[in-house]
Amino acid sequence: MNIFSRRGAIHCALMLGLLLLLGQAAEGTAPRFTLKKPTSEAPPHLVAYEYPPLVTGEANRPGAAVELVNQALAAVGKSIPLEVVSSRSYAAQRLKDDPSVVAMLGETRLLSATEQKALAEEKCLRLTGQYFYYRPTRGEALARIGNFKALKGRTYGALPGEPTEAYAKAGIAVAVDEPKMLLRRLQGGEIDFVSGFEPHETWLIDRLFPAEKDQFAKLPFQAWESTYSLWFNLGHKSAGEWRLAFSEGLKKLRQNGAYGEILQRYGLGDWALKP
Amino acid sequence: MQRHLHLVSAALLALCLARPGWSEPPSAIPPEQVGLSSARLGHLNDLLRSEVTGRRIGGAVVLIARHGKVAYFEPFGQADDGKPMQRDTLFRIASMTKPVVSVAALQLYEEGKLLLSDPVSKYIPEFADPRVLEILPRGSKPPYRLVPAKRDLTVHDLMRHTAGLPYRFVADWYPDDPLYQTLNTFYAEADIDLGLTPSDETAADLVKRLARLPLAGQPGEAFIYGHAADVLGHVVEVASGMPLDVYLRKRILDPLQMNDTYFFLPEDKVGRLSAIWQTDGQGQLARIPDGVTHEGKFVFSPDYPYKGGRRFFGGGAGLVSSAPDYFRFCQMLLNHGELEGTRILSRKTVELMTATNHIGDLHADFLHSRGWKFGLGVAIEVDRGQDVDSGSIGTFEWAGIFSTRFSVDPKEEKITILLTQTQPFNYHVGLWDKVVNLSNAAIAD
Repeated sequence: MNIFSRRGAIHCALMLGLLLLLGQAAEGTAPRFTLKKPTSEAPPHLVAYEYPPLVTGEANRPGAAVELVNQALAAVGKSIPLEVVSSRSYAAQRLKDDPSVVAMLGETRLLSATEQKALAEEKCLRLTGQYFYYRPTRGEALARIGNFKALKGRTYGALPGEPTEAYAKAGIAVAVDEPKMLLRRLQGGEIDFVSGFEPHETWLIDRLFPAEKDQFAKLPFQAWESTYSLWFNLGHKSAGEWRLAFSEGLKKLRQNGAYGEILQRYGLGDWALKP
Repeated sequence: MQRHLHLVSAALLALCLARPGWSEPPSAIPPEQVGLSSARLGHLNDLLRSEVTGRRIGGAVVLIARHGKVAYFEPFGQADDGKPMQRDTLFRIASMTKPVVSVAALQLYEEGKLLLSDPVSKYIPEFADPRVLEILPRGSKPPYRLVPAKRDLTVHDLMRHTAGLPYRFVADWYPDDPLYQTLNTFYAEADIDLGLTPSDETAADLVKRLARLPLAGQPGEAFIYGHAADVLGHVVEVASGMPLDVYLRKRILDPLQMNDTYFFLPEDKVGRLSAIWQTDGQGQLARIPDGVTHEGKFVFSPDYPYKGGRRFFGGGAGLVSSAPDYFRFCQMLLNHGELEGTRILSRKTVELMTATNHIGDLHADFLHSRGWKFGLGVAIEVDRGQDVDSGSIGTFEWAGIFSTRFSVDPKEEKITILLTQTQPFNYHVGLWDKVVNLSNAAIAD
């Protein structure tokens, strides 16, 4: 075949077309997954760890804190992706090491003083902690306790990173574990009491012990007070800009009543920031 | 009179249809009929009795079948305090659930409802854009970094355990490994476990939490045994539009007449469930009571098959079954996908599952040293790398964490099943090696 002749050129074009078609077919059987090139230029975003009902990871009811952040930013014409992860340490690590993470939503009391120094706080709502015990194992003894000092000699279940000096001073032993394990250990009688933000603790108990939720009771005094905040990484180049936007947006939400409406919708009206 | 006979016949037929399958466990035929030696199989009696009388296990059921016929089927010891082990005792088969769920996924593959190459995120969007935990040289601060995955996780990765989703308890085995220790912290906070405690959760809840954590390795680059089958179970739910328990019942368990296999036991069968026994391997044996037990980072409660919300259909470890039922599952695979005229999978797909190495140069080194590769949901013996095993090349098998194990030897058409409920898991390894060796040594043709 003379490829320089008109006929040859048509043949060549047909062959080339056939090759391309075959190539296409071959591609059709190739893996469907996407190959990705690692990049450090990911767009800025926020990170939060699951903490129902403040952060749920569910699209249709993402949690009160997530709605507050999204609506506060929307109030000043901005938006930023918020990634929900399922571990607090992982979220904290992402805040420290991931150059694309501007800020993390989380509990203030679980951040150490050193960690807090590298961060700037914008408060979203108040958190108060209650003590919980399990009636079948400790009911009679704990039901009568009316103050912290009377817990001397007992064992408290604390979260990793939680300040526990006060317990040691009060002669209370401390066992450290994750929230769900603490509840299981409470139920098993290994520890006497735990603490938690009541709406979250109730959610956990409902999930883990649906048939026994009434067996978990509260002590009649508050365990701790803290905040649930957006913590900005001061090392991030646009942290200042996003912090200002959030702060102004939240102010607007508090003025126009949307702040209270969001908290009410999640049953969290009692934990609004004080004026 | 004739009319009465018709009515009686119809009533009997209705009764048979209402409870298909094993009303009684199958009885064993003389082993010689299938080329096995009775005398040599008798060594198994000595071995298992010595384990029981030495108080190293509470009890066991051993079933050996060849050429489609059960030739050895013996219970030993106790199922529970004061309850002798029976042939139809029920066992928490844990990870022996994985091959069943792999069959479920492959049925959907055969129907064009999923491809092995499909990204997992097509079914579970939370798995989009995973990150991988990469450990940095010793002394680095922080000790690791997070990098984007080079590609999406695929259904194939789930079925061959190259998805980077380890079990938490592996951190107990590698106390100095920063990868497993770091992941253990994340998994503990996210409450990632095998779902073997009563709760109101669903497997989808667990899987979505898992998706929001980093992977332990780049997809496809490492054999990391663990939670992949939990994810696969949820993929089956999404692709089929059915809860996993409904899907398995409709498409696998009922057709195979596995009438004693469940995620959660009906009340009238709870009494047939074996207790779990804690052994020190030296004669100290104790029944593990109901309630949460920690075996290092492995957390379980023996009552999980009948307590709690009964909503957690774990594709990785959720099933309870019996030796006769699991024999029927194995025999279906050995028969290239059908049993007694009921086809579950095609011959070609069973070959893809049980006779194809899907992990290339990697090693399926969770239960074995070297010499084993991985198919889809089962390990496959490929050479004599494991010096204690006399099985044929091509034998496939898997195990469950409460010390249950099966192997299928296609060359010899032989199935061996050992069911016990013994903790810790690693005690059963030596016992299994002996059982499978005695099973192989009984071949007399």
